[in-house]
Amino acid sequence: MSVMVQDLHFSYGPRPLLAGVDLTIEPGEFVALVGVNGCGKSTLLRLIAGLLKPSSGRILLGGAELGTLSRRQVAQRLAVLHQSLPPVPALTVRQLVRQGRYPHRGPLGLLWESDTMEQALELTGVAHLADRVLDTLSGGERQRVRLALAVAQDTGILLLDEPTAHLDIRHQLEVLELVRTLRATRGLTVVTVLHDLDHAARFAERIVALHGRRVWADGKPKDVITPELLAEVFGVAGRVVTDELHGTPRCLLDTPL
Amino acid sequence: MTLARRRTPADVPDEPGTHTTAVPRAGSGRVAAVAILFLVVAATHLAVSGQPLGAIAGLLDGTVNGQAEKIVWELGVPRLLTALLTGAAMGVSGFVLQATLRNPLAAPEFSGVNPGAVLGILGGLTLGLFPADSAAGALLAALAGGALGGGITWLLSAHRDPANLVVHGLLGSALLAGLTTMLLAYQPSRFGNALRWLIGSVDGRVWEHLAVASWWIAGGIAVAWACSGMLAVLSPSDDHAASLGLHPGLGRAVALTVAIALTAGAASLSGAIAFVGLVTPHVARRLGGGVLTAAVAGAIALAGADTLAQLAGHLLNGTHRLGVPTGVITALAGSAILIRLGRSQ
Repeated sequence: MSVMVQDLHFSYGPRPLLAGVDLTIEPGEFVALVGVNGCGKSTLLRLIAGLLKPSSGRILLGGAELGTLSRRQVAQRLAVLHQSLPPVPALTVRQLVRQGRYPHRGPLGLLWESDTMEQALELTGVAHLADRVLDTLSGGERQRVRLALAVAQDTGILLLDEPTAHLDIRHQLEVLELVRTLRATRGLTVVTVLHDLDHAARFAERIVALHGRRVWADGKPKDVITPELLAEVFGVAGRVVTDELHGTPRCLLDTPL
Repeated sequence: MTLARRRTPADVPDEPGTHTTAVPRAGSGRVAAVAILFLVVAATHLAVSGQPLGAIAGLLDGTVNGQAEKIVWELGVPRLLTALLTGAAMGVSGFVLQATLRNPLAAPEFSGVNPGAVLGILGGLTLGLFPADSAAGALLAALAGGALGGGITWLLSAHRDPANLVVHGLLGSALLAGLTTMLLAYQPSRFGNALRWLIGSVDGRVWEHLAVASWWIAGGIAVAWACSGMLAVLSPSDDHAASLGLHPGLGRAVALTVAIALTAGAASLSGAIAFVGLVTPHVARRLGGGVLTAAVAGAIALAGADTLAQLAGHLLNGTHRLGVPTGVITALAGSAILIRLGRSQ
């Protein structure tokens, strides 16, 4: 499912945070959003998810204007992995993943078991954790369970806000590999906020850099990840080399400018 | 790759240690155990009423024969049903509040709803809006008061994090309790009658009282059960709920309305029974259950508490007009259980 953002403006107060953002994401693309803290990456994600209302501009999900869709219709098209999931006492993995069926079945439908939910547990490799209490899982397991919830939601679009935050390097790779697999097997359109530029270059096929309230650069990793990007957008002096194994750019960061 | 390392439940038999943190799923054995506990508590409750056991057993034939059976049928059984219904309503109300407000200390008595309902009943009686024996009048007054109490809490915490609602609920509850005290100070002669509402008691309820409240509470629990999925989606955060297609404000409004309705129903029968609505939802969640588990846990808890209250009343020789109010037992037992739960978490 495609995502289209046209001339989007947004401000929390008098100061605009986003001014004139244009972005067209084709069905099945894997896009990484990068930029400094507070540049509006997460805000853009929330706007696309319909959790915030733009001051002006249009957002289309699969051709349908976001404003004309109900909350439930949006949730049938698009799943969001927010930065954190606050703890819920005694909530089990199965109970959480079942909630993914809410947009399709409504509150009464959740009272019965669902095959889609079981498949989601299998696909994300957390079936063996199904009866565990969520708060007893490790960070990596939790992220996989949350991806299972997104899979159970059975949407065309998956938005992720820093899915690798607070994970060790092995689990960072595992989560991103799982996202890549899910995207390939389920034809998902993936838009993720990432802080690690090397991860963005390695896993996304397209990188969008936000800077100065709009899209500063948009293209293939090797075209976007440059010393100019590091200097202009992130304020860091650095070099960019090519990872010979993967053929993707890697950043060697030297010093803040 | 992750998928290659995937394990299915069959690969992981019940090794010791792997299931230590698992919540057992409700099996038929568990249901049977709860049903037996329920029956034992109900039977014990009737048995300690002071009437001969033969009179209780005699009711099982479906007819009421003789004076002793009549007393059991017209006082003992309604008292048991009052305890069960009130307990179930408070358990579900607390469960709904804790899920919606995302605070394990949310409870009818701490959200302004229960004190408001009691103020509504006492205010209505003082102003002579309804006769003291009117079940529907008490329910309506409790509803109005409960909505007022919930509304005050709501206004105090408007546009703030729902988790803070409990703090404002405590403030609102204190305010309403203060108003109730003023009301009583204004007419101290009514204090004796008011005591049962203030402390909470299931004593002296007869079939007429139950006629209205039983339908009300059963309906409220059914609605709460139908809202189970909504409560689950609402529990983690507003963002989570919205991303799954539920408008969080709307969901919260529906859930709070159900909680107020149930609390008012309970208060119109038994007054301000404390701690049942606070503690039993914790028990229900620990058992991996939902709305219905909270209802059963609340019913068993209050019937059990009232059994103890009756026993304590016999020990004190029953000379006091009120006996030992059930609310005293729930307050004592509830605080002890809560301290235990708090330490083990």
